[in-house]
Amino acid sequence: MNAISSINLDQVLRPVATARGLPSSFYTEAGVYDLERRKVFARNWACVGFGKDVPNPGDLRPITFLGQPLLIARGRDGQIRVFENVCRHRGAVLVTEPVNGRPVIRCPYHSWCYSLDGALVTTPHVGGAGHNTHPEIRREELSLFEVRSYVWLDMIFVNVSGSAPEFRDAAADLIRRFEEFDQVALHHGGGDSSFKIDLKANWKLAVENYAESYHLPWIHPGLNSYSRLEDHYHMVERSFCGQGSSAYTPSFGPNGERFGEFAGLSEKWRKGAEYPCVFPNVLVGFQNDHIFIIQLEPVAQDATIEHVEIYYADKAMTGPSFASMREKNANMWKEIFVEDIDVVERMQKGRHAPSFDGGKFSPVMDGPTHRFHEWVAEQMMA
Amino acid sequence: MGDSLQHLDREITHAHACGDKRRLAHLYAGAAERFAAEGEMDRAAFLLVNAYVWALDAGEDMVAAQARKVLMEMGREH
Ligand code: FES
Ligand SMILES: [Fe+2]
Repeated sequence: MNAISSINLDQVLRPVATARGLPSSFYTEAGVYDLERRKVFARNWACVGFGKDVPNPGDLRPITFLGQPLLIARGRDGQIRVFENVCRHRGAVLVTEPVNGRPVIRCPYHSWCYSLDGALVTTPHVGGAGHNTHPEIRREELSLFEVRSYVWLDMIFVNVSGSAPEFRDAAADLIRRFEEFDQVALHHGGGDSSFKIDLKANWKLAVENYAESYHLPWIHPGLNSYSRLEDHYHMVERSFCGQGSSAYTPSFGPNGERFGEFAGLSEKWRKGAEYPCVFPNVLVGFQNDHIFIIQLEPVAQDATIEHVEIYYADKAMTGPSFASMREKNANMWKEIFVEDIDVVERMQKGRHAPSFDGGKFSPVMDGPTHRFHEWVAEQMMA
Repeated sequence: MGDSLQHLDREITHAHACGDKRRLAHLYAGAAERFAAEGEMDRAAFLLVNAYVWALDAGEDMVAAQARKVLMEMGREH
């Protein structure tokens, strides 16, 4: 426990009516942030990217996750795999820029070559000039280190510790609730459907703000007209929490223009929309005509990047004739997310007030936030 | 062979500078053949290894397969 051994998390684990929120140190201290990276991010399934960024075989995308160099690779078989981005020879990082359609992964240092599924294919001059073999170089023992990964709704999740239950078990309640979306093809809207937001706040505050509808009337007054507070309900589950609305009736033009809908959705989604926070670092918006996904990338205890991606139901929606509608949709969401920045950063600053004790939850309105705190506390105490 | 070797060297250097992997695969394979014809097998193998790597990296499957085959026959590749 070291950094948090002196902190009593019991009060976080009490029922919402009597619980306190996570202590301020969870938002402000580098030591706790460090521990969180290991206990929350490494031991669970965290989202590190999107399949749409490696659309074709041979597409490689290097990323840094928890300070570790990782490589997302789409194989010849179309499968996405994630490797530690390091050569088995002298430990050079293999790929430093996104590249497309590579036949192999060649280390630039001494040119050991790996196939897209991580096997070591050749070891040039390893047995002396002109000799690619040596009895001590057993290639079958020198494949790239593969990281456990799973792709769900185009999100690439990794479990770097290797110790989490299978993704489909760990997120069984989530997968069950949104299984209808698991059956449909998602079409990313392209450049106009992809943006980033920088947040000078701890990643958890982005989750907590997203999880509740309590703030809607004050922070998003524009939603009062078509997505009123009383149309919202909360979700408090094992692997996610969040809110839903029963009044999703968007229009993207003067004549009620709409995007095509996902085929085969049940009645619930005719006017329903749900906004789960998938623990630890994904915020999703499910609507009958599009999905948005926000991957939270923690950069420091007080800095987070939100990567926002929007997907549509129908390939036709991604073409030029829908560009202005897509732009309108992306701008609408961007406006809402930007409206949240000020209050989220206020919560970050507020956590430097010495007497703040984690706060007092509304037993009615703060259930999802409390569930998330409870989950984080459980991970940190494990 | 001296002059044309110098020319080949320059071509290889140029291909390296441009990062033209495809060209490197073919140049090294050609050079390997020339040394093999002279019976300089060590030199040929060295060049063929380079050809093999660049062919793999460039997706020049035919050149890669041929280089690998020859290297295997020479007992220098699995
Ligand atoms: S470090 Fe990669 S081949 Fe030597
Ligand atoms: Fe909000």
